[in-house]
Amino acid sequence: MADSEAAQAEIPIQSAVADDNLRQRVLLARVAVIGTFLAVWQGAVSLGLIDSFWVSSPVLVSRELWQEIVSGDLIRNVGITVFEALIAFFISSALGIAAGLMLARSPFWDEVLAPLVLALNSLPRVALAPLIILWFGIGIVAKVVTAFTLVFFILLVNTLGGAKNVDTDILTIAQLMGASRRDILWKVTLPSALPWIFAGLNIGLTYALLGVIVAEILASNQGIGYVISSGAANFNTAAVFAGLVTLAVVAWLFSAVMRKVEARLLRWKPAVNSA
Amino acid sequence: MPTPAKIRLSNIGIIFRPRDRGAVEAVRNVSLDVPDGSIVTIVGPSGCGKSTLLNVVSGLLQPSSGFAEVNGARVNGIRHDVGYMFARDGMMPWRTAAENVEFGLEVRGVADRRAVAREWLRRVGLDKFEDHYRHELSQGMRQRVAVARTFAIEPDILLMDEPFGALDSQTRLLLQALFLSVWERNKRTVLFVTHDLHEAIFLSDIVVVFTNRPGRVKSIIPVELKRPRPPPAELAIAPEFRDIYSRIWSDLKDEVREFE
Repeated sequence: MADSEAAQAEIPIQSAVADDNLRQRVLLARVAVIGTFLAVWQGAVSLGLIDSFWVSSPVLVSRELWQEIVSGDLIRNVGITVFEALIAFFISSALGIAAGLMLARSPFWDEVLAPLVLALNSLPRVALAPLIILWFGIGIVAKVVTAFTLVFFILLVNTLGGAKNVDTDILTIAQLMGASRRDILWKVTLPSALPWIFAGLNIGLTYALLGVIVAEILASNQGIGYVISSGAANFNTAAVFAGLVTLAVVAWLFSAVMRKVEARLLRWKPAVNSA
Repeated sequence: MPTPAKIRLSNIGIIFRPRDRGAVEAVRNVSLDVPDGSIVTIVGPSGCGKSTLLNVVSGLLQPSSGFAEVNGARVNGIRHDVGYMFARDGMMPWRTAAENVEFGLEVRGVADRRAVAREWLRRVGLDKFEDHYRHELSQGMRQRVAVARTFAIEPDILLMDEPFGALDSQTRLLLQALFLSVWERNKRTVLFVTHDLHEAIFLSDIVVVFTNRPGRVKSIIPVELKRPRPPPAELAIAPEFRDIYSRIWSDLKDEVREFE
């Protein structure tokens, strides 16, 4: 019996035939799409169809990036922005998850605070950035606080949702087996809410970067946001695009790391996509 | 002199009062003794409050009237010495089969829990699946993990709420036999709830027939078949078995008919 059941359980999900082949073709197509885009952009500027003053060009942007790399400006600005974003991300996530778990344990306070959380979560919080800069100045703190207002609520709402959705069968069994409230929290609620928390962390990391960049654009003298806003102020579109490219790479790296961590921690989930 | 009652239900009444609807009387005046080391099965029509009674014994539910006793002490709050199984496996999907079996031992602080869990998985025939997660196991295998998990903590009493109800009929027969063979090792007291009369007779020392809602004890029918019992398929054709079956059915059929 065991063998036939096992066979049934281990039927692979979909066909994995020609997986390598497909990956290669996807990769090739990706390069082709990006290459075509860059070629059209460069071509349009070189042929004089559009003015590089407005849209710069891949060559000009590369030259700008190279200069920033050589001068050390790039690494310094990226370092500042990444530092701010990660600090904001870790503090906001930790507090957001803790608050979510606490509210899940206290239905009374959940009920009391629910409308407030909803209101704050619906507010476009980047609108708070000017006020935050007024309060905290143009240093790192204002960036972290701006990002915090975004990320904290995302994690709070997601964690709360996950923690309230624990399978009641599992809760019942855990209780009857003698699990304490503490056991339930660490061994049942938290792992059960983990997929929800990770959904929050994925969005949260993007929003941490967003919050930091918005604050940098509004008031700063360093960071990728500053590079973009000062480039635009000086009509240096190449610097603006260089900033955007840098930002895209940073954001991509963030989400790539996040997916790796997620795939590791949620390996018990059927078919986690880690493309 | 009969063995003393391990579980005793005294005049239990349960009335649910949902906020938005009228009160529902689920169980009325139920008194029942479950002798130490025996398997007692409650059969009855759907909605007769069978499962609810298990919740009273486990302390998950406070009855509206009457009380339950285990080992002569009143049940007051959730018990931590009961093994509980139901139709859904209740496996934690983030834990492997072995880690699921370990859970109860872990929260009790048992040191060699991994070894104990392995041994129980071996007994239910899952030694090759220790490190499999829930989604990698068939429904029958999940339920076997639940059996291992339930017995691993060596519970004082077992409460079983249609534990094999969600399985296909062949797997169900296999698991019933597996359950009995595991049970034979130390003969814990079992209060079992099922719709399946074959299952009830095959497993039990006593079958209790419940009436329609509100559930009351209609009759108590002893199953005097010697243990260890032959496999269910073999037992089902024995004349004694069919005799008991027809007695239970004659009591139950009016209740089922009334319900329709």
